[in-house]
Amino acid sequence: MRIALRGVAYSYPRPASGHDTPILRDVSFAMGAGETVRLMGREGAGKTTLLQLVAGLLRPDSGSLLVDGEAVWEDSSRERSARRRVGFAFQFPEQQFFRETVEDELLYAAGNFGMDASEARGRAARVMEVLGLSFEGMRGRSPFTLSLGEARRVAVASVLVTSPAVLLLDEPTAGLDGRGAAALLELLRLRSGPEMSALIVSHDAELLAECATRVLLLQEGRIAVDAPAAEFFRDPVAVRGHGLAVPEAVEVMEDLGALGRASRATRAEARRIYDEAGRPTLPLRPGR
Amino acid sequence: MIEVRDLRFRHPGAADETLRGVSFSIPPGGLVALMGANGSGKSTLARCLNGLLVPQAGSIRVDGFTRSDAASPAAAGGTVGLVFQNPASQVTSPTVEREIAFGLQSAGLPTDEIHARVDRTLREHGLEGLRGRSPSELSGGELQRVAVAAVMALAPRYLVLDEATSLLSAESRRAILRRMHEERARGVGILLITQFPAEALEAERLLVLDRGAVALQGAPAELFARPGLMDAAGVPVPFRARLGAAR
Repeated sequence: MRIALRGVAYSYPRPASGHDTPILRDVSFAMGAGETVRLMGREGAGKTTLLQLVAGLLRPDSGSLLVDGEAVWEDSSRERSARRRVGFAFQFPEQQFFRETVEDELLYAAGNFGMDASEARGRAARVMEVLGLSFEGMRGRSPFTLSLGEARRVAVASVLVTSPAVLLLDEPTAGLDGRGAAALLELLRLRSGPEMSALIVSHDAELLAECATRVLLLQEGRIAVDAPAAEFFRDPVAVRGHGLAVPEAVEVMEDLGALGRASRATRAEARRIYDEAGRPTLPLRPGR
Repeated sequence: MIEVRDLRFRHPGAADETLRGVSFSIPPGGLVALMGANGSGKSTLARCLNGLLVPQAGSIRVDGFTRSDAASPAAAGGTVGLVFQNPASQVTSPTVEREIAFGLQSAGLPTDEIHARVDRTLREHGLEGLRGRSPSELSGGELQRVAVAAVMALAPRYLVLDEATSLLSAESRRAILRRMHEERARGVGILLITQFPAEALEAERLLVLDRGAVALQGAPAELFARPGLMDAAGVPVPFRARLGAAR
């Protein structure tokens, strides 16, 4: 499923003051099937708002959302069918939960979409396992008693059960430990199929450098940068200038380069250790 | 000084203890980092320190007093400020300004003092632009910054930050670290719970919690120099430390 935003603007209504707060002014970008795109920007730049618009939870003031080339906001049946193919894991997982048990939560959307119950249950168990959680052990618990790390993984799992064509993740690693973050990365790598695309909001410099092939930077309500991830992180000075973190591998290459002793052997060794650590390899390619 | 001795806590109905005999201390002006896998007991420990949870065994002394001491100062409840892991469960006021003022009002401060502290806090945390905004309009990262500012405004003698920067950009994380060091210079002791090795490296001392017990403690750089042990406890190890340990 290809999606594209064209000239999208959105303001938060502020009835008390009489004037609205513009957050997105003119956002345009396109995302192809199977692409993994990382959306970055400072706090309050509008990243979550943008995901909510794509998920159909907000309506824009102007602009359009195209799904496979067709505008959906203007056509309610098209919008309904597009919405079913988009899975959105919220920044605050407990805001996504509303069922009494983890099992109901995991199977709710699948049931709504007419998925076979035993198939959905099997899929839920598999996704949970990859994320380091036990479906059998947790199915009877209330989702509201979970720790943040558990809740975040259950929220992501419940979205993946339906095999969405487009996956929207809002800070999916916040509150996860190293293992949890690595499991999430593994899950993104496995996907449910090569066609699934993902738009991921994250400040985690290390985690996504490997799987996100493209970076969008949201600034002052517009897409200020739309670049391949490897190219974006190769200029650490610019990345820091945007208030963002640079993956540590890039910093190390910077240090070595500055010292003038980044021998081929050292670089190869650094890359080997980085690979072994399950860390992103892409930005390690020497920039110059 | 916060002195924690052999702290044990079991959640009601749980089969196992979440904290199994935890001991450590935080000196005034000290910065202690706490890391550990999900479910290792970090947030439970934070809630015990702030008095939200009452441990079944062991003791917590804050400047010599336990919570049950009759002689404990009335303000004992306000001596340890806790910034929650999830800012949405902490920030409840209709505007950012009133959120900062809320704790100060509850503490019974005079109105002039409240105004002065709110102004200073908004300035120090770069939140003036959000003063009149409703928390419901704020992003997750902005909410976290408000949550940290609201607790620091109370000027507690000790601060516990429970993964309080998890939704922040690198720039804002650095700004909060700077504010933490300023608080330390005023004598505030800080427990920093984090999943970011770079933050832990700012501390004098790092505790690693593994299934409710302190598995490792020491100078952060020394602990990260043993990546195998840190991996076993589910703690992310910085690339530089791995590189150093592999040589």
